[in-house]
Amino acid sequence: MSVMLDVLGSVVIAATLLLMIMTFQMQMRETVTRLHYTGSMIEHMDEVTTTLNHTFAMAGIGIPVSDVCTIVDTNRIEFKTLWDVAGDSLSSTLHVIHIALDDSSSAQGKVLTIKQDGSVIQPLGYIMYIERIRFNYFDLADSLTTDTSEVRSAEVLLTFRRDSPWNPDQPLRSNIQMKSYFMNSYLQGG
Amino acid sequence: MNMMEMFLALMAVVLFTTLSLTYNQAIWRQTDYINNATMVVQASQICHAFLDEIDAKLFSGQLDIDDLVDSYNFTTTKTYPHLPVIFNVASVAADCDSLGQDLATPNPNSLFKRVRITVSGPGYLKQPYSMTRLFTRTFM
Repeated sequence: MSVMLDVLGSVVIAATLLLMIMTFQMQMRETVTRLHYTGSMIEHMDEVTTTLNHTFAMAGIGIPVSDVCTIVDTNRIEFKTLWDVAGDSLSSTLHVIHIALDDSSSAQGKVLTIKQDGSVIQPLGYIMYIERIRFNYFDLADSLTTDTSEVRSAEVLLTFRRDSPWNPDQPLRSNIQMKSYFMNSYLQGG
Repeated sequence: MNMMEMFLALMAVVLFTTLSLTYNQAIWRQTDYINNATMVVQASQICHAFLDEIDAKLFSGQLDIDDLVDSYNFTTTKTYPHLPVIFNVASVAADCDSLGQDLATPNPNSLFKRVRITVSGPGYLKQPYSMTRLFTRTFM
């Protein structure tokens, strides 16, 4: 009888330990996948901020400061420039750049689009995995403004979202806040 | 269960507890790295914003390069409503040579000024993040 109890106890202990190891392995797999996803998201965030900073830096080239912006909403901005953002070169024709969050949801979340004269700039014009964006605008004195003629810098509040491969109910979210200056307006004396 | 079996069972518990702690520590460490990386991206944006502000004000004439060193030596705390963290920002400005090295003798009329922005604060940011920019006097 005591031998039977020993064997039974051993089996129970071994099974518990085996379950423990399997749980560890599952948790490790999930964590590694989450880390991989978050890591790639960080790289994506870095690319997006670089792209947006570059685009804003080219605003208003050859345009009088009060005429640079045509739309300054909390979720979109439109400005004029003689810089060909698509070709990344100076041009003699006026271009209109439109940055807005596309509400058509996809598996990759919402899409932030950068359009030049109505066409999405390739390949950097579609920015994926965006959940929310908000623009705040500032005038020359660094006070908040909504007047298109007074905007000299913009604060961009971005929320990135990517569904977790293991638990779609717990998406991975990252926030970032940046500020871009319309350098060409400042170069004209503000 | 005799003494030997009890001892073996105890050793098994110790072994698997150690294993469990090692796993958990490894996961925590990796999570820390990722959180740190996220904060580094944000900290770099904060540095850019401060340095771009100097560029913009120099361009518009709101700031004279002679006043740069006096105006950009400060420490401040910045709160960002979009982020649940507070950052400490330190700005250190100095007259320097064309390579960004300190002058042997401070010279307010130096052609070059160096500004270093250092961001620190939230625990996830393991090391303070610094960005330096060299500003050159021009005669445009």
